[in-house]
Amino acid sequence: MRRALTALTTGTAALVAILAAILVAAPAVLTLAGPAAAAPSPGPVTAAPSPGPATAAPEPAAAPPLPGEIVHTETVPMSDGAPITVGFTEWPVRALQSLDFTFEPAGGIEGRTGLVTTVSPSGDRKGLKGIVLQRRGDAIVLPRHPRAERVWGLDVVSLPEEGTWRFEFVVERAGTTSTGVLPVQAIGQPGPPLAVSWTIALLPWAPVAVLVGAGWMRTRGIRRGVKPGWSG
Amino acid sequence: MPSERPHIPRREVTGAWFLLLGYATLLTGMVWDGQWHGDVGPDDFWTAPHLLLYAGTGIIGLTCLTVVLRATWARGPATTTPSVTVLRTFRAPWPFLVGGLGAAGNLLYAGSDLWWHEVYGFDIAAGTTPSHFGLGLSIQVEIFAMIMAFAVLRRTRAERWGLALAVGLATLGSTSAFGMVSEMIFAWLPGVAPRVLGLGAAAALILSLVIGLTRSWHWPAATGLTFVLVQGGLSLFAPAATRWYAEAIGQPMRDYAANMPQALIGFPVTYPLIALLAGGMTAWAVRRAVSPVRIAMAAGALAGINTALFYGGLGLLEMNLAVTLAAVTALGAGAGWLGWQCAVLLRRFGERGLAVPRAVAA
Repeated sequence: MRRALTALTTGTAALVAILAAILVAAPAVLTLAGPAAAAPSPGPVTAAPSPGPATAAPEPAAAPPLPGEIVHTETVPMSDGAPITVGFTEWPVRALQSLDFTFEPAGGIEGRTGLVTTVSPSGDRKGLKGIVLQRRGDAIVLPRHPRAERVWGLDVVSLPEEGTWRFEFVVERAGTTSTGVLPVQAIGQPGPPLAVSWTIALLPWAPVAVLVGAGWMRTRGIRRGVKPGWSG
Repeated sequence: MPSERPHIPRREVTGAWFLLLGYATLLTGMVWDGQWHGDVGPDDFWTAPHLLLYAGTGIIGLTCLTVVLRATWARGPATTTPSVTVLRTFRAPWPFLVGGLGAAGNLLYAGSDLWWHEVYGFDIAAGTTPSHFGLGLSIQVEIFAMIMAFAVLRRTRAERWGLALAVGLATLGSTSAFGMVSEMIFAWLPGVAPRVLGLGAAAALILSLVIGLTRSWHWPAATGLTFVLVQGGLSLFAPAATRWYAEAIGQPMRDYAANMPQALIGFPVTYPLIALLAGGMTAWAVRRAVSPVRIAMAAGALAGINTALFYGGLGLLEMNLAVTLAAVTALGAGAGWLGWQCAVLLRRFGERGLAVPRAVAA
């Protein structure tokens, strides 16, 4: 027992040392989300009207968000005449493939509350699911984009269904409400058909299920032969 | 009682504690990873939570490999732990064969997960993916191996506390596989939150297993205590580690990130009360000679009811509470019966090789 505890203590100490090394080295070694990690907040951007690679040139607040990442934009006409510019980090949008959206109302997001209801092609009004999505009814209350805080945005989300989605926008400002709709076409998913992926993933468990089932049947005699009691 | 005790070589005792260490590491990584996704978001294969998760799997895999190799080459009295010969060469005690297969499956599915994310990106909200499903099941196999390894021991107080700690870890850790499987199986049931059924079944199975294994009121109650330690410890660790890590690699927190411990809602925080109640029921049943199978089923039903009331009360999951309560009570009682049956087998596991009368009350 003592040797077991000694070995366990040594193992724990070694693990802690490895973890400490990982965590100390983390800032230098680990980079996340490609260029986003290098430019985590709205930093120096270009004044180019169309999305393109980032440069070091400083620019006022009117520059597009997520420089170098937004590959397509759409404009949504709103009922109050202040359109929303929607940015996409992937285009065309493929079903199940993750991307970031940015939503930039004319005049900025200060003093405004943005809501978007994402209606899937099959009619699900909560089509877009997410871990940290604040909702009001079916609508998502738009958060600031984590890496572009002057606009609203959704990061690493995917449209799970192929077909035409409807993004229904509501923007509230000083007691007034404006609305607008953006149809978003999601083309076929990348990779093999989902049924193939699921079959391959589940296949190794078929013999496991058979073995467990057979073992359960074989031990029926043991289980039934035991008189239930509290002794022992 | 026979005078001889089961012969369990030191390598298996040490191996059981290392399985515990490995799974504790894995679970810490898993809970931290969940907190990271919620509060910060960006992902790749090499994040610190992922490294912790795979380090845990590595510890489990290497432990199992070491125990099997040492068992194969060992001299002296054979282990009483049921073993199997693999490839006509390797002598593998069952807990370590199961653990090794679980770890190997975990790493294989991790490779397929990497491919998945290269093709589809790192959408964490897409629901269950095939690779995540395989990962979840493999990890559940590792959990079963850890419990089997300690179920065989139970000779000393330290080993019984080891079982209690393993059960505390397993209770929180089983949320992943049981949640995914129940969402696949029970999605068609109207008004029911499938996840409640899965988590209720996991709690019922594990609680009744402990009752059946130990046949004493102390250990179900003790697993309530170890669960508090596990859930409390991870609830303190994960948000702090997430904040620190985000700051260290220059990632901003999400707009809505409250940095609240997700481990507190991953499994009902009220579960320890049910574990205490199960301990009380066991003490009462021992005095009154009530059938232990009934107690196991009743404890399972209570664990199910607790799960439905917790999530129904929080309003986190969409459900018809009455329908969900009825379904999870029945499922919990069934899982309680299953846990008892598994305990009967695991007790025989530890007794094999001894001169135990066939009609022993197990």
